Amino acid sequence: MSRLAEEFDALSGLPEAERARALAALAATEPELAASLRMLLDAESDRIPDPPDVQRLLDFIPTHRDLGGFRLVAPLGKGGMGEVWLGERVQSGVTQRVAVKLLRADRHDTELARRFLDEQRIVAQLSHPNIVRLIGMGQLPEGTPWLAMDLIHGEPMLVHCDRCGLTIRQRVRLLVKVLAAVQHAHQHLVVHRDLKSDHILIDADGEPRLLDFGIARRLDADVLPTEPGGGFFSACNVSPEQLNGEPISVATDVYQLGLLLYRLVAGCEAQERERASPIELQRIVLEQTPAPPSERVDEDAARARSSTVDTLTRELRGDLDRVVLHALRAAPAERYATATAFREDLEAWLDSRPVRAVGQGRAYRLRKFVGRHGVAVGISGLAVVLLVVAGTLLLLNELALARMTREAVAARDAATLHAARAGQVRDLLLDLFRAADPALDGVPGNAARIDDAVAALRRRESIAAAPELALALSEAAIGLGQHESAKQVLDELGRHDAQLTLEVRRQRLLLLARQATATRNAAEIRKQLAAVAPLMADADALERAQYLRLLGDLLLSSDPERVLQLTDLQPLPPLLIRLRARALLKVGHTAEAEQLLRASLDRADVGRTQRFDIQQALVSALIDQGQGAAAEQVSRDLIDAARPLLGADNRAMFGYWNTRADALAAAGRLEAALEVLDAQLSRPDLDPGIRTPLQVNRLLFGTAMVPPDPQAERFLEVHWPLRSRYGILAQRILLLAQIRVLTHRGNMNEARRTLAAHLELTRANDNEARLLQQWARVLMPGAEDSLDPKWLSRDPHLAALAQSSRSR
Amino acid sequence: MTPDSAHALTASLRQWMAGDRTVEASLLDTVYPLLRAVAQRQLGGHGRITLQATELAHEAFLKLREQSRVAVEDRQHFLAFAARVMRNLVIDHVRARAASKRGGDVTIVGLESAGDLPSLGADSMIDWLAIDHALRGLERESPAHARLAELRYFLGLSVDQCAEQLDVTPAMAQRMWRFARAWLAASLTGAGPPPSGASSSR
Repeated sequence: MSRLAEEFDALSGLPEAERARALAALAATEPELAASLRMLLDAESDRIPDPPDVQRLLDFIPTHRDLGGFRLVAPLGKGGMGEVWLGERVQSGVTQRVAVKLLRADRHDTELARRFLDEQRIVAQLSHPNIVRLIGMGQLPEGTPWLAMDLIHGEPMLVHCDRCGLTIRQRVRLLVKVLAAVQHAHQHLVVHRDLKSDHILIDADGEPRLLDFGIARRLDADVLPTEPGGGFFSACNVSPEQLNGEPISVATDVYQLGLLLYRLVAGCEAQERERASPIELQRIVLEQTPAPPSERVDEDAARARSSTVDTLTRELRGDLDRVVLHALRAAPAERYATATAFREDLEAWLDSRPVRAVGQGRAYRLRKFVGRHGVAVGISGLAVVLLVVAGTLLLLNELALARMTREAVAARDAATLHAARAGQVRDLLLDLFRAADPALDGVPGNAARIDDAVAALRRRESIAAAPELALALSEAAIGLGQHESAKQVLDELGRHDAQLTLEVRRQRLLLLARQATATRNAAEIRKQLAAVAPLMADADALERAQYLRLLGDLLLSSDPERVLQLTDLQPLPPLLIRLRARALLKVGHTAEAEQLLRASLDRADVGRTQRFDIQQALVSALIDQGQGAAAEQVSRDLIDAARPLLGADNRAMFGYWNTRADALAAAGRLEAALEVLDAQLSRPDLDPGIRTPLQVNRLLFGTAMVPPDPQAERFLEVHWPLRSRYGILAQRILLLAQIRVLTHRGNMNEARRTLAAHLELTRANDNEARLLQQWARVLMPGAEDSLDPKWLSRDPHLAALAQSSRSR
Repeated sequence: MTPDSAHALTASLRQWMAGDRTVEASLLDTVYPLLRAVAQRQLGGHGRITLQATELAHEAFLKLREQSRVAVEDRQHFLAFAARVMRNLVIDHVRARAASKRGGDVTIVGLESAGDLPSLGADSMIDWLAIDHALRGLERESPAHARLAELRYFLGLSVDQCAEQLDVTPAMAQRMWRFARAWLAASLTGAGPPPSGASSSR
């Protein structure tokens, strides 16, 4: 007990007079003590404040005090997405003040939270004066993610601008700064996805500070989910592509900043979204073109912009109207392609220079380009997107896209993709590269783009630093037939082999093998497969299937039995179905092949595009078994199913039409077969890789007709002398055609001689060779008379000849 | 909470009661979640219910006892500590307010909806920092008195309840409170706490 307390105790019990005396006595000997006592006694009658309200205190109890070195001090506020706390961290004697956001969601999904944090790690790498810095992050024990960031004193952009009565020019200048910050993020492959005034604070120095990158998707904001568990957004700034469940890209950020700009300059929202029902919202966002801002201003807006209605209207009308509307186009490809382009146009407006937002320009041209080369770009584009996802995580982690990419992975080796999707993905890819290097402004041309991208990657010495991106790039190059570029990247990657992860090394070797497939370099394929074999131990199912397929393709002609062994798997991965079917056909198990293919069509894990390939293989199998009518039926189903999905310009469609023609011919409907082929051949800009097989097929069917189709005959006249330039299969067909025509004209001897001179062409197992073998039996002296009726139906000339020779 | 950590907790509480401040941080780490859980359970879905501070601390203690075998006498320690917790919360709140205001502007740290800044009560005129300062002075002067002041002020215990807590007679507690109260009053209105007198040997 302290002395002071004791004395106080004693004194306070005394009556007034005595107390005074005692004090005085004490004052003589211990003046300080006495003074203190007097002070205390005097204060006795004073009020002390009421204790704090416990109710309120409860708000202040943090669930966790220590978050990775940050101490939650007190709450600053609550919102729909969680809570914001004042946090502190003491480091080297300095107290750092931060804002800590606890991001709560209804569902505690640790996996989602972990992935969210992975993405935020990328956001944390952003270093820009106008982007709020992420300082720390982690997960609470129950899984809730938290983020620690700079504490900002500021207000939302709209609030600030209106409160300060900023003019249009001042507002535009602010947005220019915002765009520069957004561009910085894009260059790091980060898309914000939820840009709006609340996420852009203007601090006390008048500087914009962007926050909450990539957060919106994780939180249960006021909600229109695209898919359960992914891609939440709020109605007020959702972009058309988000509503459609299509991939997000840098153009999404452009759009949202367009909405913000509209509101900043016009004083009202571009579209009436707030009270719309989900259906109405769809219509509004996807179809309604906003009126030009200049037509929407009113008194209040003018006042908040320190202007008058007339002046304001004049200021907005024309160029600024155009810039805003350009950013708000419903189709992403028609907006500013990058934040920089948007910013440059705004700066041009500020400088009274002409703006570029006058028409569709490049976007239009690019779209046309995609239309023509849609698929080739599409496959590679999507495959690239897949690997880029693995590398960056943030941009493309949409459920819809994830599903698309899964299909694409399965169909990766087949040339099939919806043309429209291919365009979106391609744009994204271009955005990606363009955003990464503003100097990349090549002429439209995929080859140039890929080469530019390769050069850019190498210039930045990024091939080793971003191996997944490099892999994606080489895969894209392979898909586009640019083997040089692909090899360059893969070789360079190989130089850093020691630093690569196992997965990357494996992928690289598989890609080298695929690249060798494209150039039919069997020795090279073998070499790469041998190199990757030891790494396949913990490959995932898809990679194992890829490996087997590559191996199987190699062995198919020489050792189909081995292929059957290799593909004897339960369940059989979709990638390998066709391979196994072909192997079965090669060893003569046609019924089993047909069974396998038919059964595969019923499998749930077979993607739509793979189904088409299976149907195509089934047609071949049926033709092989002489079941022309059945083949024709399946081929009709194939066309009917594929055409609406793939679109007429899709490269794969040509293959399926070819198959249809084969089936029609097998069913004896040769004119119809020719019609189909002619329809395809009449397309402009046909790839030589497609034109030649079509023509050769046409020759085959054309000469099978009795009398032979004149156009086929002419073709034969031209190309027969040039036959050595063709591949074996085509030579076979030319031979067959020649024999038919000669026979039809009655030149039996010459037919016989021609066949004898090319006997080696008859030694094979394919249909044409077999047909030739039948021809040999009829034409050559000493041949047996027994002919296989299956073949006779395929070749009326042969049948006619067999008939006449028998009747002789 | 495992038996071991409960043991550690009660040991820490005792240490803290004995005057060891180094365990305070780890105690806070343990106790905060408990209090929060209790508070949330109380409030869960029903909006505001009247909750006394003592009830809160009591509940938290029960919860602690549920999870482990904590002895009765530690309830006293726990309550004392809970009072300290409350006090800390108030101070933290004040600091947060200070951090969030600058020249009168209110900060909004990017909240989705109208993020309202929680406040401690209508009477924001109270200078909580001054009270904290006063209490710290009192603690230097006489820890026992400060403890009592905390219990009465932040947990709302009656004088008799405080007596029980501190293991003194009610009359003694009454006298102690009188001193503590005077101290607080003097600090708040005067020019600072009175200088400390020498301790007696009693």
